[in-house]
Amino acid sequence: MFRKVKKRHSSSSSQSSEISTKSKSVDSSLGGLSRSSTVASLDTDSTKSSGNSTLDTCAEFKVKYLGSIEKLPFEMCKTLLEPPDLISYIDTAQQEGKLPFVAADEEMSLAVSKYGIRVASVDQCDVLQRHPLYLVVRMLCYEDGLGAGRNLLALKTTEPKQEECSIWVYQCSSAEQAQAICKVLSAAFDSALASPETKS
Amino acid sequence: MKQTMGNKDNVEDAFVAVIRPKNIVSLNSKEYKAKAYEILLIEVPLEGKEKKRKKVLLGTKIQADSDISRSILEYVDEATKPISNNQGFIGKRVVHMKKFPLGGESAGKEASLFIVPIIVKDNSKPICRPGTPCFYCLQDIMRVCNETSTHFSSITSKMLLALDKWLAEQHSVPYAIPALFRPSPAHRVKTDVSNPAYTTESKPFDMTLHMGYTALEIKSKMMSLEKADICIQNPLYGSDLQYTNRVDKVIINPYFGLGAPDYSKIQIPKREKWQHSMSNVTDDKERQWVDDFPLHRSACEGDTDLLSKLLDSGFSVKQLDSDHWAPIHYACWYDKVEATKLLLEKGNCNPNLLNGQLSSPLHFAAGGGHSEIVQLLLQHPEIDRHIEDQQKRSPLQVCEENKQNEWEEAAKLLQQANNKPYEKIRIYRMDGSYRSVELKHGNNTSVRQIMEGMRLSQETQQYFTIWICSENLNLQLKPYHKPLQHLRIWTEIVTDLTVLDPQRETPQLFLRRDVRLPLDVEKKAEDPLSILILFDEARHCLLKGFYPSPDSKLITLASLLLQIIYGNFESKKHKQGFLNEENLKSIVPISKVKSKGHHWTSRILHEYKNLSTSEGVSKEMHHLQHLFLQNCWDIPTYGAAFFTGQVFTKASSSNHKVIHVYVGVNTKGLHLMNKETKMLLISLKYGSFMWQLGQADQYFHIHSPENKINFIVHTKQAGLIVKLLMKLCGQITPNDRNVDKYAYV
Repeated sequence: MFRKVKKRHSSSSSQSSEISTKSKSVDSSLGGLSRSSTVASLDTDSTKSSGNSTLDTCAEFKVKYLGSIEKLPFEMCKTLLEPPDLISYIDTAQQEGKLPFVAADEEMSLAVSKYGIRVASVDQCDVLQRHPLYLVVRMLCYEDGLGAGRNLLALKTTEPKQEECSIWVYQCSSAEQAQAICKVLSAAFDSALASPETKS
Repeated sequence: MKQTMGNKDNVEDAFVAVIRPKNIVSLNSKEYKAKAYEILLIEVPLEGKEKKRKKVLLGTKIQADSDISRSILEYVDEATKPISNNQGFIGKRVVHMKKFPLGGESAGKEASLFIVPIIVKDNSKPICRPGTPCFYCLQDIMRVCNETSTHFSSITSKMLLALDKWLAEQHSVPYAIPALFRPSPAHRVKTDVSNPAYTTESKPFDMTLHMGYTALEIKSKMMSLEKADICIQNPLYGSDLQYTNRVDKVIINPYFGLGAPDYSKIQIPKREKWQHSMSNVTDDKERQWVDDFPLHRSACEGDTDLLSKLLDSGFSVKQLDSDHWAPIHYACWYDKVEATKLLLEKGNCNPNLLNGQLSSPLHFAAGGGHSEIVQLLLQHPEIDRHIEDQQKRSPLQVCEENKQNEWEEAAKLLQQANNKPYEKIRIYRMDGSYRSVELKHGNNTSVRQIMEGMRLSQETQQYFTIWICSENLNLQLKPYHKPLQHLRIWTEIVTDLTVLDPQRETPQLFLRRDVRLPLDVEKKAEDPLSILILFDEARHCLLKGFYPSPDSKLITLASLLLQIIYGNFESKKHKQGFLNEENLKSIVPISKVKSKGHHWTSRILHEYKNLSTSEGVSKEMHHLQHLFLQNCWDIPTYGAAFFTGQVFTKASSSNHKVIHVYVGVNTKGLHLMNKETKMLLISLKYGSFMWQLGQADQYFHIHSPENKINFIVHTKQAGLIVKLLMKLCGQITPNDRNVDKYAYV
C-alpha cells in the first residue's frame, strides 16, 4: 500500500543492482496518437504511416477477449488471405458455435509495442497471451454486424515454423479504439524496421 | 476412386434455400415464426401432368474443389435477375446446412443444402412469372409440406422440413438469427493491417521492397527484437551466502489437539471475506511496518509535516527497520528531496549512514538517478564522496549501471564533486596550535587517514595518535575509528561514560602522545618536532596538575621552563618580583601557585641561574625540552590516560565519604589522584595488583595483597579502564580489536 514493490525486490537480492527497472506504461497517448483520436482517415497501408517511427513505448488498451481458433494448418490459412474471407471464416465459426457471438464481460489489457502484442489481465498479474511481432501476420478490424455497433479485432498469427496459424478475436469498446489499435500496430511494424541493426 | 475418373464426378448437386425476413423486427424475436420469412422456390411442371406443377428449391451443380460460396452466390445472383429488374439478389453469405441422400436415379449420391440469407423484403412488387423463382411465405409453404406432399419434389420436401427445424433451432441461440442476416463480410471490413514480413503471403508476386527491405529482412529484424536487451543474473547465486528463510507470518491452529470438532457449530465464512483475508497477508505486513516505523514511512512518502513532528518527539534517524533501512534510505530511494533535507538538517542524520546491506544514501540517490538528492548529499560537509558499497562500487558506477531517471545529471554532479576541494578538520596540539587536515572521506575518514594527512615523519608518527577531548573527557581513538562520527555522537558518549552535562562538553580532535608508547621508545626520540610535541603535552599536564611530584622536582621543572621560555638568566631582569602570580602560572602546577608558589620563587630562580650558567647543559631548545621530558619520565603518572571515578571511604560506620578521583593508567601501572587536590593517593605497578570488572561495567575492584590495598572505583568508564589495564600490562596484544560499544585506546 505504501511502499516497496521496488524495494522488496532489491532487498531480497540486495547485493545486486539495488535499482530495479521500472517499466513505463503509456496508457493513452503514443506519439500524438491518443486512444480516442479519430482515425476515420486512417491510412491502412503501414508503409505510409508516418510519425510514430520509433515506438519504444507501449500502448495499452482495454478490450474483451472473444476467443480463438488455434493451430489451423497453414494451407488453410492461405485461403483466408482477403479480409472478407477471414471475416466469413470467423462468422461461420460463430454460427457453428465454435466461437461466441459476444465476448464475456471481463476486460483484458491489450498492449501493443514493437515487441508485439501482449494480452494480460487488467491488473497485469497474469499474462494470458503474447504474440511476438514477427509472428503477427495481420490484424483486421471489422464490425460484428449484430446491430449494437460492436467492433471486433481479428489477429492472425503463425508460429516460428510457419506450419500452423491461429486466429485470435478481441472485442473493442468502440470503433475508434479498434482502429487506434490497428494504427499502433502499424506503427510498431514501422518501428521494428527503424530499430538499429543487431550485430550477429 | 471417383476422383480419378475426372472432373465430372467432382460435380455435386447443390440446393439453395434463399430466405429473407419479411421485416427487420423478426430478426430479434426469440420465438420462431415461419410466417416471418419468405423462401425462394421455383415452380416446375409435374412430370406427365401438364397442368399440375410442383415447387422445388433452386438447384445447381457445383465443382467440389472450387470456391463453393462464390459459385453459389453467383448462381443466386443470376437466378434472381428475372424477378428483380435484372439486378439479382446478392446473398449475404452461404451457410451449408447439411447433406441429403438422393433418391431415384441418383440414388447413392448426396446433395447439399445451402442457405443463402438476403436482405429484408422491400416494398417492390414481386414479379412472379412461370419458370422463374418466386418468394413464398414460409408459413404457407410449411403448412402443406410433408414427406409425401405432391406440391413439392421429394428432396425439396425433406429439405424444407429440415430447414424449418434448423431455423427454429437457430432462434433459440442468442444472436444466431441476427448473425445469419448480418451484412456480408465485405461490407464490414474497416481496417486491415498486415505485417510487411508476410507481404508475400497476400501478394505472391509482389517483390517490392518495404521501406527498402525485403520481407525476409523485415522478418529477421523483427526476430531480433525478440532477443533479450538486458540479462540480469542473480549475483548471489553460488556465492555460498547463507540462505535465510524469513517467515512472514506464522499461524498456529489453536484447535490442534482438541479432538474432532462439532461440525454443526462451524460456520464457513463467505467467499468474499475469505478471499479478502487471503490477499491481506501482505497488507498486514505493510500495516505492521507502518505502525512500527512511522518515521520510515513518513520519509518514504515524503510527508515532511509528519516527519518534522516525529523528529521533534524524539524518533531516532538512525533506527533501522525490519529490512535494515533507516529513514534516509527511504527518502533517497523514493526521491523525497524535502524529506532527505529534513532528516539531514533537523534530524542531523549521518549522510553516510549505511543500511543493513551496506548501501549508502548516496548510492541510492545515484542509483535512482535522483539528481536533486545527489546534489543535496554532495553539498553536505560530512559526505564521503568516495564511499563504496558492498561490491566496492562508487555511487557514480551505480548511477551509470542503472541509468534511471535523471541519471546523466546525477552522474555529472558526481563527477564534478571529485574536483571540489575537501572539507577540512582542525587537529589541535596541546599548545593550542592546529593543523587543518583534508577529510577525503567526509565523516568516514579514519584516524589512520587523518594521521597521514598530518604529514608527520615516520619517526614522529609513532609517538602520537588522535584523541577526542572535551573539558572533562579525553579518549584516545583507534586507527580505524572515524573521529567525525565520534564528534557527531559526543553527547551520547559523554552521557554513557560520565554523569556530566553533555552540553558543556565541546569535543575537539587533538594530536597527543599515544598512551601505549613505551618509555624506552620515547627516550630514544631525537627529532626536534617529536620532542617539541611531547614537551608541549608534558608541560600542559604538569601545569594542570596531572604530574604529582615532590616539591624539589616541581622546582627543577619550573626552572627548566624558565630557561626554555625566557632564555638565559639575567640578574637585572629576573629578580624576586619577576615571578609574580601570572608568570608562576606558566611554570608551576595550578594547584601549587597559590599555596606554595611564592615560597618557591627564590629556589626556582636559584636553580634557573645555575642552569643558565652551567656549561655542561646545552641551551639548544630541543635539548632543553628533552631535559624537561627526562625529568618527567620518572613521575608515576607520566603519559597516563586519565579517567574519572568515585571512591567511597568509610570515615565512620555510619556515613560514607565520597572522594572524586582521577584514575591514571599508563605503561607503568594504575594511579589514583584526588580530583580536587591533585594529590597522588595510590600508585600501583603492574604485577603488584589485581583488578576485576564489576557488574554492568559500573565499577572495578583493585586488590593489592602486598600493599594491603583493597578498594573499589565507581565509574561508568570502568570497562575502558580495565581494558586499558589489560592492554598495557601485556595481557592482550595491542592489535586486539575490541568489539565493545566504545573501544577507545
